[in-house]
Amino acid sequence: MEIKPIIKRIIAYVLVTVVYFLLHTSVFPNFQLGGIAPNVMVILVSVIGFMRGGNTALVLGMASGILLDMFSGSYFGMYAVIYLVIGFINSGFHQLFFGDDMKLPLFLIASSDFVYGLLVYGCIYFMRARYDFGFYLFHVMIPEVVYTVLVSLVLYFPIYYLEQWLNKSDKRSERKLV
Amino acid sequence: MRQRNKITIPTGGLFLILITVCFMLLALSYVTGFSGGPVQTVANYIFVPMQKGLDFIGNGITESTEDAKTKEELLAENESLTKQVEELTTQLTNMQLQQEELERLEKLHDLATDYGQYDTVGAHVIAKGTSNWFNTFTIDKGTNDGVKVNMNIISGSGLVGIVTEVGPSYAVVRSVIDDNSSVSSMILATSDNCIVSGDLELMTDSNMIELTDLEDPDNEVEVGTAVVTSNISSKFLPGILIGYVSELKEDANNLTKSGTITPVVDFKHLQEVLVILELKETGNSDGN
Repeated sequence: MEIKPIIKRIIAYVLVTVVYFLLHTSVFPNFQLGGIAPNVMVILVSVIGFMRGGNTALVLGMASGILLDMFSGSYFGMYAVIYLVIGFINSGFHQLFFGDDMKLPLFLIASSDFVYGLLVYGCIYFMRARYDFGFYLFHVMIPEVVYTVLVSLVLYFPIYYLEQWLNKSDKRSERKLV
Repeated sequence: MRQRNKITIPTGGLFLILITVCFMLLALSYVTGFSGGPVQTVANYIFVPMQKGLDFIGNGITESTEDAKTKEELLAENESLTKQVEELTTQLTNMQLQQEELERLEKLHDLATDYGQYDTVGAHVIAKGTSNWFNTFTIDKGTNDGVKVNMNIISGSGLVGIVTEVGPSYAVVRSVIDDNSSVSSMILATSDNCIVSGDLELMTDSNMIELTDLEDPDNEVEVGTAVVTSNISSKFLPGILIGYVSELKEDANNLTKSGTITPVVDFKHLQEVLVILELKETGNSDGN
């Protein structure tokens, strides 16, 4: 008996989330540049967001956020909100996405990471009277965006090929049904 | 567009539902300190073993690059180390004599210092932070090893941070350099109280943490003085070294002083830490 495509898809997303989460927390922090590590989870949520769109983007965004919340200490639910918003914004670009062009994905990943920075600054730092926005912009947000985009040049493709493979196997099982 | 689901929820609608759930989680964690519950336990058994493995590989790589020293270097190092051992042995004998005397005098005064006598458990740092904005990390010891929330973390030379979240075999630590952290501390020499708080801006610029609210009317505190956790802190055990004063200036109110501290712990290369298996007793029934 063949596994249902929807179940196959769920398993694939869970696995890719686990791998990217480990990259995010245990691998890339060892390769910091100037104290800055790339934001791998933003790449995952953003790419699935515009590739798959719709409700998948939202659920995946929120699940990744909750995962990060559990390993981050305070404000349980903060990352869930931020990554849900990122997933939602990216799912809006689903209609514009065509696989052969790297410009849109890179632009969206960069913007997502920037939005992430703005949200953390706005929700946590600004509220605690840290008003030196310029410092945080040039020392945290922009370096993180640059590093994340560089890393995404590699980490984009595993998700891209996974998505293509899933779409192909979806079509195959559809043909069988007919 | 292909839609495979029989029941379709519009994306906007689901977004509103999920974001409401998120805010409810935030409120719940704010009120009850909820941090994942059963999900946390599941995550524990999935991620912690893998993080441990990655940490092991990572350390292996760093160590093997460090191993690659030439024979001459090793010989030179050996020679200087032998000299150092001799020097240290003499020093140690002197210290032992002094220590004995100290103990004798302490007994006379009925003063037994607790510092250094706490029960500790060693732990590896298996994951570093979830964001560039926060200085938290995960260690591989949890409730199974007796670790609880609010236990203090030290590393050889001094205070590292405090446990903020704990699962069966992992714990999340917020370090003292985190922007959110503030520790009630005191100047070791004069016992003047002050507040030591992390500041991302200061940390990025100059690897320092902030010191505020120091009352020092007689100008006794000098640059280079040791700063330790205070005995009036509600969460930190007293007398743990945090760092040394590196800058001090009078505040605008002319009553208090503020400045910066150089922490003793190297937070960039933290691999092993010690968890003090003792919570600060403050007499509060709720344990805070």
